[in-house]
Amino acid sequence: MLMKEKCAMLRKLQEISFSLVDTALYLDVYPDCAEALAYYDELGEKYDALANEYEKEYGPLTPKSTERGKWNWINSPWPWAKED
Amino acid sequence: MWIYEKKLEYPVKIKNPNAKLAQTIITQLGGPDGELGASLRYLNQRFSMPYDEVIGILTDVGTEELAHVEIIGAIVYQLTRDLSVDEIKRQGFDAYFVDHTTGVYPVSAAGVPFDAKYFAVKGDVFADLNEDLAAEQKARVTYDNILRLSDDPDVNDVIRFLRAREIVHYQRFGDALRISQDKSRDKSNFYLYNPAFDKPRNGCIM
Repeated sequence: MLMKEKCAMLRKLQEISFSLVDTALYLDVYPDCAEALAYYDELGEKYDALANEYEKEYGPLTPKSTERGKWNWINSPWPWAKED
Repeated sequence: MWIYEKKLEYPVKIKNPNAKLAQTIITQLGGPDGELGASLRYLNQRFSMPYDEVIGILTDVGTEELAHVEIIGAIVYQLTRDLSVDEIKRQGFDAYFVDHTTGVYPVSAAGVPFDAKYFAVKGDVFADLNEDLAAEQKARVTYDNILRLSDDPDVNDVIRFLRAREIVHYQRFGDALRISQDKSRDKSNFYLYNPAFDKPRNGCIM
């Protein structure tokens, strides 16, 4: 059950993160597009909020967001692991 | 996944162009002991590594090496700015120039294009970590040799930073090797099985 929740949250995070990547590509060549700019801002806020929640529950996404006083950055599973 | 940060790990500010020097330094981009090969070697070795500490160090050193790829690119770029065709010829840069103009293309000092065989991924914990230790030493020697060839203080300041990082990486890979040996089931024979391949239950290969 716990694993299912983690996977669902990660999936959502991957969706938002991919949208950020793809929108950034668009903005690189259309930097004045107000619609894309607003979309990027909205995605950014969503990402920060969800990433925060994910990291509290399942550990850091970057070395800088590792827990204070505890180097849980290296803890398994790494992203390429086959889940049981 | 990776996200780019719009800054160099160490500042590069070179006043005087010098295409001859650029041609030797570019080997740390596209040569056998360069930063590109180092980064991709470590990042690819991670997949078969069984220990979190070792995966962690390979991830973080491999990522730092990507930043060093960028630093070498910045050095080559700044050393080849504002050159006249006459200077390009006089400084022996014409052979590179005819194929790449002043674009940054990964080759060795002798002009050999980058080759994936520089990666060296063996899929064995001890072989791979020993490869990494040797790679850091070889990169350190290349920087020593660049310092012997260069008298430009702007360049040498950056090269000394990169050289020092090779030594730190060597020390951390040494720690990773010791950790891997400590985790071995048989301390008198680390090679009894390859923890990156053999399953503990049917582990003994000899």
